[in-house]
Amino acid sequence: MIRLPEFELLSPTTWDGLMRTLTLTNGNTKILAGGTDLIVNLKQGTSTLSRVIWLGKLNELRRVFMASDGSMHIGAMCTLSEIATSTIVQKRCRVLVDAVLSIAGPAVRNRATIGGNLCLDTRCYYYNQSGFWRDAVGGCLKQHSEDNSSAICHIAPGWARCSAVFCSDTAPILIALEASVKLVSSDGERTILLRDLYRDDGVHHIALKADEILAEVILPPPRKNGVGVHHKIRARQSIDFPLANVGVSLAQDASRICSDVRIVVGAIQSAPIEAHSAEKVLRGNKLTSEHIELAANEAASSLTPLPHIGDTAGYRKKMITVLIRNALNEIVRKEASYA
Amino acid sequence: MARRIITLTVNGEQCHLAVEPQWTLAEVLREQVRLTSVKVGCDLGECGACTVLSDGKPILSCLVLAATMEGCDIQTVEGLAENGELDPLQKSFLNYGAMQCGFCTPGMILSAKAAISEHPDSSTAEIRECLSGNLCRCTGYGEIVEAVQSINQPPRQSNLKSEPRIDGVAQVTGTAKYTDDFTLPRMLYGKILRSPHAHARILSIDTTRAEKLPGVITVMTGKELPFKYGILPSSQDESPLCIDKVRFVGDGVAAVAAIDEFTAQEALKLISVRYELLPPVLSISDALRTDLPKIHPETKYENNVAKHVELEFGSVDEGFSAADYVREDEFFYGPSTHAMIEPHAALASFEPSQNSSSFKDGYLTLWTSTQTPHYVRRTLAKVLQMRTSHVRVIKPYLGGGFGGKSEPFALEFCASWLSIKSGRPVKITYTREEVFYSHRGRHATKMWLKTGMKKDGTITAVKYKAWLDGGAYGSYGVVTSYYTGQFLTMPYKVPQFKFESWRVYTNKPPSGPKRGHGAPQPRFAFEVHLDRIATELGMDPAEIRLKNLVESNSMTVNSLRITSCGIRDCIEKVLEASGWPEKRGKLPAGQGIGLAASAYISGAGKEIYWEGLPHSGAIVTIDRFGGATVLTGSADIGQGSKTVIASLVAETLGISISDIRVCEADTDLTPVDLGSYSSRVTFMAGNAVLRAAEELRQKMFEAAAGTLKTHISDLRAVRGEIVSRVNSTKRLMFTDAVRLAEARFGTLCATGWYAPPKLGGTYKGAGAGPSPSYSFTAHVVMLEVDQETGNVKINNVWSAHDCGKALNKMMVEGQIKGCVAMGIGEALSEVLSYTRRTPGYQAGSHGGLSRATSLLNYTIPTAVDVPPLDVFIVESIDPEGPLGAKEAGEGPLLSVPPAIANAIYDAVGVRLSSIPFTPDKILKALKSKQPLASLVEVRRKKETAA
Repeated sequence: MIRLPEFELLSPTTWDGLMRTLTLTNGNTKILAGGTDLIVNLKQGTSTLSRVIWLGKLNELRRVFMASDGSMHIGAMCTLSEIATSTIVQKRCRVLVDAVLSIAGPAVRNRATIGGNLCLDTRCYYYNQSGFWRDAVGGCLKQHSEDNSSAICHIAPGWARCSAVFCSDTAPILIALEASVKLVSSDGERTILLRDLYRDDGVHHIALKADEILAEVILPPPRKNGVGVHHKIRARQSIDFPLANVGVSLAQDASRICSDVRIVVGAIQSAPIEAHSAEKVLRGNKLTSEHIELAANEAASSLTPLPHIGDTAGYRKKMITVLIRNALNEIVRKEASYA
Repeated sequence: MARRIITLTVNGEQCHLAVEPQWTLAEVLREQVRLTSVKVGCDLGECGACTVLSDGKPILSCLVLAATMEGCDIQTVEGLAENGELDPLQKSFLNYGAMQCGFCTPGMILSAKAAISEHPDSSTAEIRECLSGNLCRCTGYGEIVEAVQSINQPPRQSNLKSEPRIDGVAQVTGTAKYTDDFTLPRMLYGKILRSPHAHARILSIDTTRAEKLPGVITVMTGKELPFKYGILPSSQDESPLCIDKVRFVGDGVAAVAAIDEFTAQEALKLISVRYELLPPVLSISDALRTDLPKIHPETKYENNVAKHVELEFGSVDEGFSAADYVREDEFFYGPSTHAMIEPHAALASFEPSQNSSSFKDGYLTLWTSTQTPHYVRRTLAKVLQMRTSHVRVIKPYLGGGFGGKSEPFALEFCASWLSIKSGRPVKITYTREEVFYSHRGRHATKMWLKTGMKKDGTITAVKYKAWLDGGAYGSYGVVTSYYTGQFLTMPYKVPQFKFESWRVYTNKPPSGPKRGHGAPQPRFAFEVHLDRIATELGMDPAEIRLKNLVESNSMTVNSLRITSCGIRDCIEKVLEASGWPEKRGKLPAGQGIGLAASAYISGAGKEIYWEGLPHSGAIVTIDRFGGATVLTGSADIGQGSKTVIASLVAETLGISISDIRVCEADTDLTPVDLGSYSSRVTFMAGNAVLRAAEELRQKMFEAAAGTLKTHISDLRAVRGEIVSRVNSTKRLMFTDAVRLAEARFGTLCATGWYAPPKLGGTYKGAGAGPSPSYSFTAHVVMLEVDQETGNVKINNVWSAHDCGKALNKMMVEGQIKGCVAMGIGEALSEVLSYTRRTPGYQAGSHGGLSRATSLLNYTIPTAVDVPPLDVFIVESIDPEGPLGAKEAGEGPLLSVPPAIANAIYDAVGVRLSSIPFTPDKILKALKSKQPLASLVEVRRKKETAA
């Protein structure tokens, strides 16, 4: 077995305890939620740390509830399985259930959390390897982000920044649904739009402060006639990270004109990417097959997947078209079935 | 760090455990609680073998820190049986043959347990989804799903005839011990330092810093064991660790033994090796160049060719001039690997001699995950310079092999040598990444084929050329170089045949035998080539095949002796079952159906070292109180050979299989058997065991005949009795007959052995290819191509396999289904690729680094990727097989990839000539609607002439 190096494990059991613990964070501290990403990274030595703060004992972070303003709140430590089986989520946001069930396999979902999925590390096959492998290839920008070495990015050698890819399956649809996240630190808390949590940078892709944790996901009250769809393409029908995914949220007026469209593509760059050009095509139009085709092509032509898993970028670019087309067609089908 | 005390309820018992924060639950359950059913297959959350239930829900124990589990209720399979009675799910797994090697079984059972506890009425699709995070490489999942779904129902009718595995209870209860499950007092953990370069000279190795690390007991380098070895006498090109040169990324350079695995891991970082880089040879075309350095300078070729074979049988020129049509095609078959779920492991324990101070006179015991204990023993003795008779190799339960554990590996030598040096037991278990570096997988093969044919579809000649990417060492490669050509003369008659092959060395992990050893590549090429010819000639692909079939009791042009042969039945069966005539060319757009057929050996006719000795030996003893014990050197690697051997003895002696004990694969106790490779075990070990059992039965008949006053020839042994066929009142209980026989002949014990008859031609190379018998297979695949994503969804596979007499139908079906699932993975999703040489980078520019070093990057099929499979067993009783049996474990893989390729053509009109058929490739092919590799020539000879 791969043996982990020693570290200190802090498991605050109260909110006050958490606040105190967060003041102890430094560059060598990591937050542990479900561990399905972090423990792998520790075993592969991509994360080095001296202290781990585990959030599993804080019941405050495990709740799902509806607020009086109609917004839905999901605690960051809710596991993906809990979300998939939550009657509140099933009723209020079925598309999130779809997205969650497309992640990994059942045993992973019993441990992985929504907070963890939104804070996944970025991935790249030059990085998600053992220390031996990474040393054999001479390290990379992500590995050497701290030590100012002359490392390069192997998949985009001309780039000055790391181009590892953010592969969350929940972030795109949550961004499309205009979710926000509550961030907590010992200084207090703030709520920001989820889309603002991300930066298109493979190393510093999450805009959390050093002593800050993601505590809650907040979905705004549903829009009138709103509908959301999540689609994912992966190598196998289980276990795998997305080759690309898309979250679409859309509202139409009485005459079926799309008033509000959000299309977010994931797993192609270091942050989820909003396909504004495709949204523009649809806004003010009906979901005709012409517009769907146009929007799908528009998105693909404006977006370029990073080759973080080998020579698949060209294929994944084509898949953006397919994903968006299929997602929009599903919305058309859903409406037909309501009517 | 300070340990903290946690309390877990494990299988209903409270455990107070002192754990360090960084320990995973898998480590704690295996090493502190000693629940070794918790298997570690990848250690990175990618395979599901370590699944346990926490408060009734499956979790991956390798990804969970034990310290975060305080107060949880943990369940493992050890705790499923209650009061000595198996859980219904465990029983169902046994009855349905839902496990083969058993390594994924504990995790699989627990995932299934959680699924049906929560939703007792789950549909098949829901069950598959629930199991989709648990990888199984043996079964193809169908039997597992059925076992889960049919819980509490009586077993399927068709399976009632088959006995469950005799080791099945140990597998489903978690008591089956695999190599890594053993620990010994004072045991050390070993680790191997590996080369980060594809090709480099070793200038120096400095181990002093590692030796000084507290907890490190001993360190070794390659110079200490300078004796070359290789599984074949003709390619002795490996040493346990590299001495002066490294030949691929992952080649072993030094090894350490330390008091714990973490220390061993850390010690590797303190060894400094200075290298001088050499230009790497990374492809077949690189290897054919003469301006690159030779990877093995001792070879006789000026480039990196390791073996060249050229054989002609008859005259292909004559054959082509007699043809009406001639066609040439090129194909490529990408590399793939076994990906058995159990990583390689070895535990060595050395004991010095009492009357000699030289270690060479000492005694060495090695428990190892090997398919070939006998070859490992011979090679260990040679390399360690010990007496062979003092080396004992034991194969415990083995978690899948598929050819990937069928020769000696570095860890076996290193664990042994470190044990000799330290005087303490040493265990080395490979990480999943190391399994990929050590793999000996399928040779990437570039192929060229030319076939001549009469207008009526009769083959007149075949010419074939192949270039095999052998990786850094010889392995079984010389045999592969022959197998790539030799098997093209079955299952279709080829009157004139010529082939040429080149196996080359490259700076990549060595290729070797993977299920089907060398045969799937040419089979893919030929079956697709034949389909193309059928299309050209306007013939039904089924018709062209049926027209050319080999027949029983015939000899191929290259002197392969075919005895029993059920290929026609196989093809007719799958055509009928699939509704071929109504479906071919008539399915809706995007859907298609394809056919392919194949033949494979039942054991290599020649042993690896040619001394004319038996290939398999057996000892059978009968217990005075009933029952029998078999000692066999054969190695059950999950295929169920122990059960087959027990059933042969039970059948012969007329007693229940539950009264047979099998002691296997322990070189001190069991007679020599060459091992589980080349699909030889049922045929060869089976015949050996049968011979011993028959001798014992004869003695019992002789003793009984006197008492019963009847002729020996009138007696038979059935249902625990010796009964006269003539007068059924003349009968004796088996145990009474045993006592009579023992009183008359002394202790009842017999030996049996098997050596194949003299086979094959007299030409050079005639030794590779002949087998005492051949199996035959046909598959029809029906599938759907998503023309937007390029995804291929297999909807149905109909398989018919001629295995001679099926000694255990359930296990034969299991082998066939496992082959089909592996063939699907190989054809569609499994990609082994290596980084290219990239000039311009300061470091890492060398290339040759495997991109697939995990079960996340190397995508073997999950439970939701394999469709339900329809299997038909064709029984052409073999005249020389044990009770008529022949192989079933490898042959059914060969024709899966071409059947898929042919079905894709039927679905969307593109001919794929390069494996694997990834979605990307399919989209590209669809776009151009042209075959991917160049279609060299289609020539209508008569038209040209006219």
